[in-house]
Amino acid sequence: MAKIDIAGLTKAYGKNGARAVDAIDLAIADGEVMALVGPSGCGKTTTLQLLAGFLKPDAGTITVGDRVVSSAKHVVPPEKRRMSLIFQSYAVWPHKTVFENVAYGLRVMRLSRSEIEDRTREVLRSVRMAELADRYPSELSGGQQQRVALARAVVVKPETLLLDEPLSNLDANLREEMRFEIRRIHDATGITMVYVTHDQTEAMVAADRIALMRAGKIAQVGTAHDIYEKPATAFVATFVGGTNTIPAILVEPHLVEVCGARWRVRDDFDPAQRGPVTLCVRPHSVTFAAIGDDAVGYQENGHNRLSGKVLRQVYLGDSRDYLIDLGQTQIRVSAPPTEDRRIGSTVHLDVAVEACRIVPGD
Amino acid sequence: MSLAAAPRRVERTGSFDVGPVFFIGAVVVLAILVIVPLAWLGAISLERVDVGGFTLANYVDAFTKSIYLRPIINSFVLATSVATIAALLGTPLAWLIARTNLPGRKGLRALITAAFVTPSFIGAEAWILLAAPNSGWINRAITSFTHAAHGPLNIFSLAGAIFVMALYNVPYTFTFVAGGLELLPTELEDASSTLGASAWRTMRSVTLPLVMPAIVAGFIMSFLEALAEFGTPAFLLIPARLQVVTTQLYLFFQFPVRTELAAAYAMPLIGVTLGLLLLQRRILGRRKYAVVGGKGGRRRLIDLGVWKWPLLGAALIVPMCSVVLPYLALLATSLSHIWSQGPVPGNLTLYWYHWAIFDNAETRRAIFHSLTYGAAAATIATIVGFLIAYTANRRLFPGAQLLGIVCMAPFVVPGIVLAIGIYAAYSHPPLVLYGTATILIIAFTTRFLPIAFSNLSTMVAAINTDLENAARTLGATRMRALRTITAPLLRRGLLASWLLVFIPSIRELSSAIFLFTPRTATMTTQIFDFTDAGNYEAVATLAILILAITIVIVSVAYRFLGKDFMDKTSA
Amino acid sequence: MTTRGTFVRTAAAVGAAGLAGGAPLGALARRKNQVTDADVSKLYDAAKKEGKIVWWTGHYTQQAAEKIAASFKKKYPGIEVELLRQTGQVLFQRLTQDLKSNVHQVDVFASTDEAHMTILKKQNALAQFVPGDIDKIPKEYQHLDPDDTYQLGDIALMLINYNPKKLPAPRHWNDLLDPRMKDLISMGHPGFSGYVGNWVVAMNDKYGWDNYFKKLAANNPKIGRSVFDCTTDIVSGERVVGPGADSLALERKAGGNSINIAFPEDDTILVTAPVTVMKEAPHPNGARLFMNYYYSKEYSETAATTYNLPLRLDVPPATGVRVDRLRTYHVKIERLLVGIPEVTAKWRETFNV
Repeated sequence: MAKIDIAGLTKAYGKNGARAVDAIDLAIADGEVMALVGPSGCGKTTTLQLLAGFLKPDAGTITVGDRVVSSAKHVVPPEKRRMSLIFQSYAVWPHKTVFENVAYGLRVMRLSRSEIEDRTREVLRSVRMAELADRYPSELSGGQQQRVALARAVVVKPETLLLDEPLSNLDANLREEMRFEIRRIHDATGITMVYVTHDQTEAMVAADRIALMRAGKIAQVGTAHDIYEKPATAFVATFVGGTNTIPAILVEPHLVEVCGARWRVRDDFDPAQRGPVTLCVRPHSVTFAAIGDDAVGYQENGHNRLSGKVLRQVYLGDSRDYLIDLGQTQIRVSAPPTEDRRIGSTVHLDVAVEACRIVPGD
Repeated sequence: MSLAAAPRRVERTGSFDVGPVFFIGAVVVLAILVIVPLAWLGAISLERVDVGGFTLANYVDAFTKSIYLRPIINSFVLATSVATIAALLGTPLAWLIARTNLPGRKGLRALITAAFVTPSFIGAEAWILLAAPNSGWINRAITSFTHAAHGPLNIFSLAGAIFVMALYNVPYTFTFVAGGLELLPTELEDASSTLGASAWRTMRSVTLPLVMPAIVAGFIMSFLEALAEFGTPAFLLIPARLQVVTTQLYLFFQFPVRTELAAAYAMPLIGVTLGLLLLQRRILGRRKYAVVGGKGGRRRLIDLGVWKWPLLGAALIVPMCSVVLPYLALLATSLSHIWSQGPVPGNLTLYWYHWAIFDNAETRRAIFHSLTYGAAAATIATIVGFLIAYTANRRLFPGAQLLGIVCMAPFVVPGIVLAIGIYAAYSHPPLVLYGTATILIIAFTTRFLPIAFSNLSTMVAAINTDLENAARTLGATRMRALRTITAPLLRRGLLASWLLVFIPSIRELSSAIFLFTPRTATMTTQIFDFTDAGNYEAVATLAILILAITIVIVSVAYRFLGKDFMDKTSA
Repeated sequence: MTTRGTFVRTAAAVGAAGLAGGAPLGALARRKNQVTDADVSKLYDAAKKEGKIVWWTGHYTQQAAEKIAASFKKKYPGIEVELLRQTGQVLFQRLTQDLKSNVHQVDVFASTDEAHMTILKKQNALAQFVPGDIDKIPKEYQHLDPDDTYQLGDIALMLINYNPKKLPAPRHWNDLLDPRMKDLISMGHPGFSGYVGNWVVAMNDKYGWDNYFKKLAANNPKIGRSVFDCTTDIVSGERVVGPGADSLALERKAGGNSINIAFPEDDTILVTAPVTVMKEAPHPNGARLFMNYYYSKEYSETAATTYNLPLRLDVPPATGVRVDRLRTYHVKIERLLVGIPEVTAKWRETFNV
């Protein structure tokens, strides 16, 4: 239960190597669940390692509460940071029973035997592992092992809980269960959590706020809604939810030129910024206009129109996935399964202005 | 449930982290064992004799005189031949035992292990009993039929020495190749046979190329062992009029002692060994040879069909020559009152065993020394090896990996050369250790530290750092995590490393021969002395005792650790 | 090589520390520091207080040396004998190391090589001492060192070992050059064995290298390392004849093996080995008592029982022939110092090993 402040945190590979984490700033509120999301190599795991105290920053600081725990000069060692870590590999010790695993941290704290016994049993009950207390990890399933890891991490009542892709090794329905478990524990204890994952859906479900990282920098921080609805860059837009990115030119406020037509868009930039931008349109925001309706460009009814040719079509059961050739570019459209257009046919696409976002061209 | 927000934990202050002390201690020990002797060796090779001061004269002397150059050539011829033959014998054996349904595979493996624990010079002694041109039993048996002047076999020859040394180096190639074969997915070979290739052809064109790195690794190991061997060349090659580098080094230490020449002479040996090891590293890449067996298990064995029995016969030849015949000869001799009369009724006696164990205090002490020095060396090597493996692997401080290289350095130094370095380093103030047990323990520890280190290094690397890190996030210091998490997980590995140092220490001769005195004699130096005095009965008795003790220990180890623990003999 | 010099002994060699009174005047024939019976009992008393002596010897086998130690303790009860028996080379190395580090733990040092003593003498590490019964040993070897810093400690004979069942007794060293001896000979190596080195120098000096060793090479001798290899090979039946020492052969003969010794008419090679008292001996009185014991009857008798040559002429040797009745050849120390490296080099050229 602490707030965490990351300021100018930098970590490079080797002496003059590339920066794994490049001067990032992030403020995590007390009791918040902050997800660090991004493609592999973006620096999220390194950030977590820096948070845990396993790595020393080259520059910048990490402050927990009012204590500076990491700086280029000094790092408080992991054993003194009161941060528990849940590992992707569970890291449950194979040579200790479930009970011994969970009790380890309490033993280090030199609590009395009875207190250790009580607290361990209690937390095992809470994760529903009480009957398996005397089993060895090799006798447990993946999900059970992760629950042991969870119990072990929280029984010591840490200030912060760090999670490193905790669900990646679990299969789909176990993931559901564990997500719920983690959320439940958070709600009960109010622990500050930092949650690393490459899966944006997981981040959106589990976290209060998401920090999207790319190449060592934070691309955007915000709630799931913010990030999804108001992506700051094309990268953010494509990473979360998937989107079409269409090169366009901003000619006037709220007006872009795209594929030979003029569309009205929702966002506006600084009037001084005219020129190339990226138009982002989610595949499921695109509908097919009725056959025969050949209008193109911004329609006064709040919709934009484009025409193109069907390149490909895949039936997915609950939708049809289309690849449409617009001449200069291609876009994907996610249409209801009933919408069946032949390959090679010309189609007219309809998009609401609200669904047309622009981000700085890059 | 009360997982509600709890008040802050009381910060534990003042628990001094003893971790760094241990690691620094390990580094200091490493310096004593490895760096100092090697540095001394280098320094002495450049020193002007008696006067002191820098000079290259020693190198000039050592490498321009033809009597000193000839042994170098001989050594290389010997080592190359031994390694080649060991590879030629070991590879088919490995294939037969690891990949086919040859009957008696388990027994064959046991016999090969017995060869592994047998010191080569004891094998040489046994073969002298068997194949000395006039007095060897095999020759005598043959001449009793042919009535020739002397028998056809002459063990006192280059061929004889190559034969004996190759026999006891086969286990290296065998272990490497068998290990490699067992990791080979059957599918690769299946692919070949579904294309219509015969078993032979599959072996030749699919299996063989895939295990070539293992064969080369085994070759290099055998080469280095043969290069550094002292006992067998001393017994077999001197009568054959062939000096090798190790016997020449020994000569440098007879009167008048020429330590500087010996040091200079030894340096290139180190260079060659280093070069070959780097080559081996290159060839093997970063691949480690995992413990044999237990993976998948759905491996189909190749059916030998009617060739089963002939091939078994062929396969038995090697263990026959390395284990069965020699042990029988030694046993027979140890039970003879006068060995030249042979193990005939009237000459049979348990006198020598009684003498060795009960009467002769010297021998008893030697046995005791072998066991205690070996145990001490094994313990130190395991602890130091473990701490350094951990330090290097977890990169505890910049340059930590250099420590790993230092740990492996003794590997490139032949035993006899190492002994010279240790002798030079620790024979004058402040640390005068010559003549003490300590210097022998140092020699054994240093010599076999690389085995312990590389074994443990692989194992430490295999332990996910997450396991230790988890402990640390729960409040354990690094040292505590090491003690409660890492070490227990490595229990088997630690024990295996201990044995992998203990067993070679017991049979070590080439480094002991320089550093022992009667008060610190070991079983192997005793055997050497008895050979000099021509007391073959005592030699055979001690040899049997060494073998018995080693085999007992190895069998016990097998029981506890499973049959795979000996498979990691090198990096 | 013996020089019955007329030097006046300077150092107080008799009972340096703790012995009351100076060197007693004895018979005129004795040296000033030669020991009398009265001296011996004084030494004994002082030695008992010291408690033990440390004896390092390269002579004899371990068992033989232990027998000698036991016989000393029998004659002089109350004094422990700490024995270290190893090859001369190793002992010498150890001693040199100790001296370099100013460690003094040896009382009596009996090396196999006089050359060692020469070096130690130069380092001023040896005490002067003359045992009382020095006149009982062969004349030529009394006062081996003219300055008496070391004395004769052991005599070994290099002669011909042979298998009497296969050969008649050879009579000359040149018999080994006979073409009929081809493939029958076994011997050691001068680089590995001081005794063999001694013999090789002797043969070289008597007959010349080409005359002897080049011809010997033609007979394809088996070359080993130790002086005992010849004896061992004859006992095993591997070879039949060769230059070897007396002691082991006689021991094996007594054990029932088919081996015998022959004294060459062109001189048995007599190898002397020295013994000395260390200057900084930790038990100086015991040291002198022990070295004095070297020339006692008990010592010689014990030696004879182990097939080693008794130093005293009045004790019959196991060889059956008194040393002073043999035709012997002795290589002098000055020659040995130069000769052994010289012949070793020649050996390596001729025999290739």
